[in-house]
Amino acid sequence: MATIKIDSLQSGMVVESDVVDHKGRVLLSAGTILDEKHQRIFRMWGIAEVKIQGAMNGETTDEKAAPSEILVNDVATQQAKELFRHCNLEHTVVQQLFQIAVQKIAEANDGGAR
Amino acid sequence: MNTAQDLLRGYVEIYSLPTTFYRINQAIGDPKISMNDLSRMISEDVGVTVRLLKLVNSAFYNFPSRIETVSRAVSIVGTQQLHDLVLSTSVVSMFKGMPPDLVNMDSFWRHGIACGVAARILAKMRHEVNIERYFIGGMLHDIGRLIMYMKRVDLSRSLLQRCQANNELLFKAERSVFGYDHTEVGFQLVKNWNLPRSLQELVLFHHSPGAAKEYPVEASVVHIADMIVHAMRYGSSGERFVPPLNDVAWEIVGLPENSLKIIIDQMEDQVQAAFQTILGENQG
Repeated sequence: MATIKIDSLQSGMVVESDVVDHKGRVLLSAGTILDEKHQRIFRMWGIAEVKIQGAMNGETTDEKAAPSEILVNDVATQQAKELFRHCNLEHTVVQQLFQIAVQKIAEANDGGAR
Repeated sequence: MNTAQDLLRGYVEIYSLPTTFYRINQAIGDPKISMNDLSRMISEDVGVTVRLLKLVNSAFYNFPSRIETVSRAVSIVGTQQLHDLVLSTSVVSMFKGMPPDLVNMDSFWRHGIACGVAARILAKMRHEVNIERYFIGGMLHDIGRLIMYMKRVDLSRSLLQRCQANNELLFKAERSVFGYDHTEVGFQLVKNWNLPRSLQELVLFHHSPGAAKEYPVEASVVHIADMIVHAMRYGSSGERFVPPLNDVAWEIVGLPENSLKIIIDQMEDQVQAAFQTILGENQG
């Protein structure tokens, strides 16, 4: 088992333990086999690195770094914050809506406009 | 001249809906009118016919073969949905030639239609009986804004610029400038049109569903749908931000906390077909 930075993840790798966001919500459960879309999803949700089954320590790994670092300057998150500037993000439902919005904005930034 | 009612006074063009709407609506409720008569009446209106056939042949119904006749189409959609289709297309056709620098009508209706789709999904999850009523409610919830744009062009323009510059919520700024907001204007309008009382309350209370007296569920459903549509950035009626969640709205709607993802997935499946049906040929 080793912790792999998201840029070094490859399709077919198996997630060792649940991937959680900064609030502790599970994004991907242990045992999931990664494909290309996961890397993008992790990036959107601010996940910096993931624990992978069977990976050797040393190959593109960094055991000491904290898991799930938030990438604060994520463009989509900033745009969503602007959109939600009059909302109370403490409310769990608003929070969910916010996170889906971040995901959709990141997809739109990635590909065509709506 | 400073109430929402005053804004509408003497405004003949929008004082009632097109006669086709009332004619078809009356025919639907009349037991003496046969399906054939009704179909013939619809055939006389090219716009409604085109949209009706488009609707039954859309992905929403997903029939294996093409439906070619009005009578067949009427029997498939049923009279309630026929009523709603005529209503929504009538309303869209009434508001053409708006000042383009104030409002992009395509974007305005996309916001409304997407809100209607979301409201219909929410209502369905609640096992409401008449879910199409929620679609119309979602579609028309911001209609009051169109009257404000038409009748108070300069004031609306400066208001939009002010909100742009200060990142203000438009519906709150409206109240500070006009003394009333788009919910009251919309309420007066749909009341003049003799649309159902539930629809009137829904338009009036979609920003404050806790204050609705008779139809808090309708108002809350559209309140949540409006937030979703803002968050997903489908079109715009002028407001740039997701409106704040009303304290009681989510509790009144009463759905499980994890429903949002499901609602949004379903909405994305349905929304393009709804745009096409109501906004017509020129939509992509």
